Amino acid sequence: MIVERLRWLLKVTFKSLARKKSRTFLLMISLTLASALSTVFLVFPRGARMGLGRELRAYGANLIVSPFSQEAGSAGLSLGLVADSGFLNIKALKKYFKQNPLVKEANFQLLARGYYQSQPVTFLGTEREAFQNASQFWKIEGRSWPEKGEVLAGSQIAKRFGWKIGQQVGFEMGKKKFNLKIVGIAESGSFEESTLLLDREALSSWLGVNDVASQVLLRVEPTSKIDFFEKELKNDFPELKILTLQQVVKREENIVIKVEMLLFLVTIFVMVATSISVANTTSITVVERWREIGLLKSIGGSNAFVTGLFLLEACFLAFFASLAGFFLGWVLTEAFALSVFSLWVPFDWWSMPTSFLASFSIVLVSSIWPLRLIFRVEPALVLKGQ
Amino acid sequence: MKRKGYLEIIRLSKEYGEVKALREVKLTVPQGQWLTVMGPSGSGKTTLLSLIAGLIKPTRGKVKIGGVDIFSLSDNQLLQFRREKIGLIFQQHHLIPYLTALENVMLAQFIHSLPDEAEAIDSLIKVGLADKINRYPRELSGGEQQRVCIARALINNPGLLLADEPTGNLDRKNSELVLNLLSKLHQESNFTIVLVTHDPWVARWGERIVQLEDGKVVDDFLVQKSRGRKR
Repeated sequence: MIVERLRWLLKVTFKSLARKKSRTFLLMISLTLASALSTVFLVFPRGARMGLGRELRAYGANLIVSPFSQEAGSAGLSLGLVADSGFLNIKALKKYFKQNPLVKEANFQLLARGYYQSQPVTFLGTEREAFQNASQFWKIEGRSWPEKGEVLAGSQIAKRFGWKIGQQVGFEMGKKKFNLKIVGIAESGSFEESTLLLDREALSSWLGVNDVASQVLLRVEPTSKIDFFEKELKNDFPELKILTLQQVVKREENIVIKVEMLLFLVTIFVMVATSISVANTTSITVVERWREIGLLKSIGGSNAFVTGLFLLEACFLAFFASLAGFFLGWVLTEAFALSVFSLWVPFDWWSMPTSFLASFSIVLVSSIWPLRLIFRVEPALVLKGQ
Repeated sequence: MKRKGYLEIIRLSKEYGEVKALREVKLTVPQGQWLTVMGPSGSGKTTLLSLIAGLIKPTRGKVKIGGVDIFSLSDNQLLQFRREKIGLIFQQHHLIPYLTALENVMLAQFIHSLPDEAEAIDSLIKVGLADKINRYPRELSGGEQQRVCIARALINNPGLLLADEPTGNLDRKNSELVLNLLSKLHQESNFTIVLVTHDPWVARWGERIVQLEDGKVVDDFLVQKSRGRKR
């Protein structure tokens, strides 16, 4: 019985909406846009975080973990003394980080001190993949990854010693002496500019160590969980020293917050404009259908029933506008994410309720005021044509 | 022999500010009687009908239908009462424009309880619209629209049918069709009719005529059979 009534009600609702096609279409467009923007508001910041996260990797990680016994150098980095102090066990830490979903990237680095013409120089051994991730926004002259017997010089150290690309340079490390070819000069805007970069494995073999690192640069996401993660890591490994790069974290958060604020304001603006449009259209509709309302009341329809019919029409529109808005929102999000960050935001159904919430709340809130007119319709007067 | 009153109007008055639309009207209409209320414009005919339908509240007095004082009911009870006991026909053929003839009839069923398509089709067949059940109001003539209104008014088997100038917008031929139909249905189902008109020709289709003037009953008489139905 309820299904039969509902089926009939939906049929009547659909016919009523179909009667005023252009108005229904315009209302649908407004609601769809509001719904789409609310989807963008919800989804785009996630894309922005992904994009920013990727770009901010160029600035480095947000956590640096090293053994407690190491010396801290400038900018919170241990610059050497690896032979004198403890190492990080790469295998154990990799296993630990793999189990923690907050760790998005771990770059194990080995630092070693050598000498060039009796002047101390720092070698930075890193992994190729991690280096490529971190260096995508660096300025590199020459080749970007050194092969065996080669090294990438930081711009400051190259300038200091007057090294050129292609030059063979002799180094000493303890009792070992070896020549390395400078294949590129890198500007990172950070500590790497004072180091000589090469493959960590190569550096490990010169030092005679295996599967150890001097420090690991971690990227933990979301950044709001950094404190939690740091506490957890300290608890599990009290022997580790953990430094948070607050600048990176704050920069990322500030940018995302600004993007969110901007989207929030635009979404609110559009929602308010749509609400006014819906309220206006509903008022016109109620006035236009004055006689119909009077008739329904005269044949026994209560105020609640007639109001319900109008609300059902509005909800009918809101439902389809939500669906359309959800997909349009995703298209817009992907378009923005692609143009700003050159990335695709993974599709998720979880944002759909927001799209529905936006449309339905606009429709319901903005219809309440005009629909109160229904209560004022006197069927006796309307049916007399007054 | 005096029949028991199905519709009782007891000292009914309606005032709109200074204007007295209805003054102390008293009427008793037996079950199954066709009462015609006549009178010039502004005599209070439509006000009387609206009061009987419970669409407006009286200033004083009572309306009893089947023994129920309708103004002692709550708003919801009155709505329910109107759904079940009263059918309404108006001068302007008030149909929902985006619904077909059949759907307009089913709407009354829906408000009453549950739409029953077979029953609605049957009612349209009874009013002679078997071939037009799926037509929209704009595709029907005035007489046909009024017949849809009759079918809608009677679909829930009301005990009382109220008709406000039902032929007011129709030519004589269509008026006769509609009145003939009402007469036939009235004889079949024996519901009570209160029909308002200013047209003496229409009035003579009923069994009894009440003349209203300036909100008061000035005449009340039975229609002679010889002057009555067949003109």
